[in-house]
Amino acid sequence: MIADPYQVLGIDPSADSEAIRKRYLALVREFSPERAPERFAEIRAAYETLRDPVTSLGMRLFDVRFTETFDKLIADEKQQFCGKRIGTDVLLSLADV
Amino acid sequence: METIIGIDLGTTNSSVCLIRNGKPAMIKDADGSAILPSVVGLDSQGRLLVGEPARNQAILAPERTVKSIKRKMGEATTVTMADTEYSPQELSAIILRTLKDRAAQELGYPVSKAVITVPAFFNETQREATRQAGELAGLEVVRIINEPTAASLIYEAKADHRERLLVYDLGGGTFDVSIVQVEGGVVEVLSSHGDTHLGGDDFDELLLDFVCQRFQEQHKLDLREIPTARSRLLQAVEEVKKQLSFDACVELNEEFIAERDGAPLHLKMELYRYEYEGMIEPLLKKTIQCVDDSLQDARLHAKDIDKIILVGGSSRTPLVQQMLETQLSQTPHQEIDPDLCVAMGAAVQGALIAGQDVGAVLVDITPHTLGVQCQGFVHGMPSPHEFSPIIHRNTALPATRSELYSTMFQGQKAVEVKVFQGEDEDVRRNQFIGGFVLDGLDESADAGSEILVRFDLNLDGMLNVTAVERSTGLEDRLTIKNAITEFRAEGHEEARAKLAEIFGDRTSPVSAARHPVSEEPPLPEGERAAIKEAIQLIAKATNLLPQVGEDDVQEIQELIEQLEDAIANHSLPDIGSYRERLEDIVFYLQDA
Ligand SMILES: Nc1ncnc2c1ncn2[C@@H]1O[C@H](COP(=O)(O)OP(=O)(O)OP(=O)(O)O)[C@@H](O)[C@H]1O
Ligand SMILES: [Mg+2]
Repeated sequence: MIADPYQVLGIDPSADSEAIRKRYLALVREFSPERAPERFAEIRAAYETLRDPVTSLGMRLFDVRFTETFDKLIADEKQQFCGKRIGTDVLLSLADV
Repeated sequence: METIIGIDLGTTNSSVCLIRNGKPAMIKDADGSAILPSVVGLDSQGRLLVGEPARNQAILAPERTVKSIKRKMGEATTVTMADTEYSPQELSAIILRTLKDRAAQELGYPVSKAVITVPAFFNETQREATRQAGELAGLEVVRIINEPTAASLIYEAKADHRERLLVYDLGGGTFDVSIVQVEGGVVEVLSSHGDTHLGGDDFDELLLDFVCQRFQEQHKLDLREIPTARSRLLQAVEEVKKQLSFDACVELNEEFIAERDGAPLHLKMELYRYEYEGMIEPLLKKTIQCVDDSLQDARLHAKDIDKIILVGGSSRTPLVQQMLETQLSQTPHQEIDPDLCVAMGAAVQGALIAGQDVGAVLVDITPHTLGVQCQGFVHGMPSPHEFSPIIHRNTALPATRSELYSTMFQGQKAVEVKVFQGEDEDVRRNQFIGGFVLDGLDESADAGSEILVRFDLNLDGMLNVTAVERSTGLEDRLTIKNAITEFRAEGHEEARAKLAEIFGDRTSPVSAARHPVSEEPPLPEGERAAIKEAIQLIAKATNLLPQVGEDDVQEIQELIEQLEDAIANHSLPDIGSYRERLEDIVFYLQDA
């Protein structure tokens, strides 16, 4: 599943929001979207998770990590799919073929 | 280190910049102007005109001149220029190629890489079209960045300070507002809103309508229906509009704008700033609404904004500044050059990509929500038109998100993945981006076989879509199909050849002979004035034609042609002598 955001940011779980932000900015300078897009995406995701409990939940439901294979990802999604209320309502439209 | 130039491809004005000694340096033409008017034309001999000469020709030969092509970027349409059809990408490529050549000349070696800016609110298709234009111009577009974001990269933030900027960019054709947070060497865009069809061009049209309606009341003649009068007036009202930013009242005076029953008609009227403000206020209110929306998206209040940064020529309008001041209770900031900061920011980003340490790291967002069409609910009612968002607006780039869907029927063979961009829960009110069919699904599966749709949005704000059937692993990757991507597939080579021809590239010898290269020539102030006067004279003479004898008609027409050629060739002596002769005739006939 998704990596522990504290681990991604390399920061202690007791860190306050100011410390989290400082750490996030330092990491973004090092792993910028230009230079290290994949690493940046991880850092950003971790930061958003810690920044906001609501997005945190969303992250856990929807985020895809670059390193994961589709199979593993589908397995993860599938696991959550059962619990996701919109699950069975959301259908792709039938193709005109 | 390799050179990556920064290009601001504007609706009205374009420019190119590069980093020299760690600082952005605008590249100027031989006249010393950093700005290239975004106007393209062909002269009477089919030679290419770009920038100021094309803008000058627009008055006389609107049918051979194209301006504001950026407004059509992303549309599957063509524009006629001298009886040939051109796609918006091709015409934009001509502007880009001119800037690229300008940079190469300055540097003394060819350049092949660029960062090109687009309005933040440009959608996928408009971005794709811009990228194609770059390629047609022979440029590798290493990055597409958003205009307000580029501008914010130029802002010198205080060290160890958190500053929140509101960048308000109102140009010739587009409007964007972005909220940007600068802190600890990182520039983060928090939210963006805008309108890709709102700008100075619209103000010009409003003023043109106003003037023409007044003229029509007096003279029962609609000047908008006479192409040359229209294009001449459009330039005239633009000048009036700009002047109204400084003066409360401006006189518009255009002699011989038309003729009726053999008599010349002059247009002369006073225009007041308050009248003009009344015309544009509804449009400016829309921009203020966008300011509110972007604050709300960033979860900020007006008081959280440390600085308002004005970008774009139209932001000089006093009413814009007043409305912003009222809304945000602070005075906009004018330290940054509103005309050049976008190209400068693009150059900074280019240098960063090339590996130079020139500034802050940028984190940008997508201003639009991206998703797919599915069977679901719209306004609480079951509907096959539900927009199911996958990447929400204001998500940081690059972004990868996925969502799980399912088939509707047992034995379903295919699903159609249709991608949309927008904020409405009904796909029909969003922008269709493209789609594809994932065919060959496992027919033995029950209804509800799962399909995972994954969106990868890269730093250019461009999308890749993948769909996978869970049970079989059947996978399809979308090369989005729409009219613009098809142009890349089918029309690209042809377009390249066409451009090589009008640029008279040595690689295509046949055309080189037909269209000698017309380097944009230097245009000193004196020449500029002479051309302007000559153009006025031609307009005057043309209007006299219906009321003079056959012999005179022929003589006048010949002189007009010769004068036009002289203008196209920038031959000052010829302009002078033909002008004198034409002036004599006009003077004589007017008195007669
Ligand atoms: N002093 C002024 N007052 C009002 N409008 C002005 C003034 N100076 C320039 N403009 C208008 O600004 C517009 C051009 O601005 P700018 O060069 O920033 O646009 P652009 O970058 O080409 O367009 P865009 O960014 O929308 O693609 C024109 O419509 C012009 O008439
Ligand atoms: Mg602009």
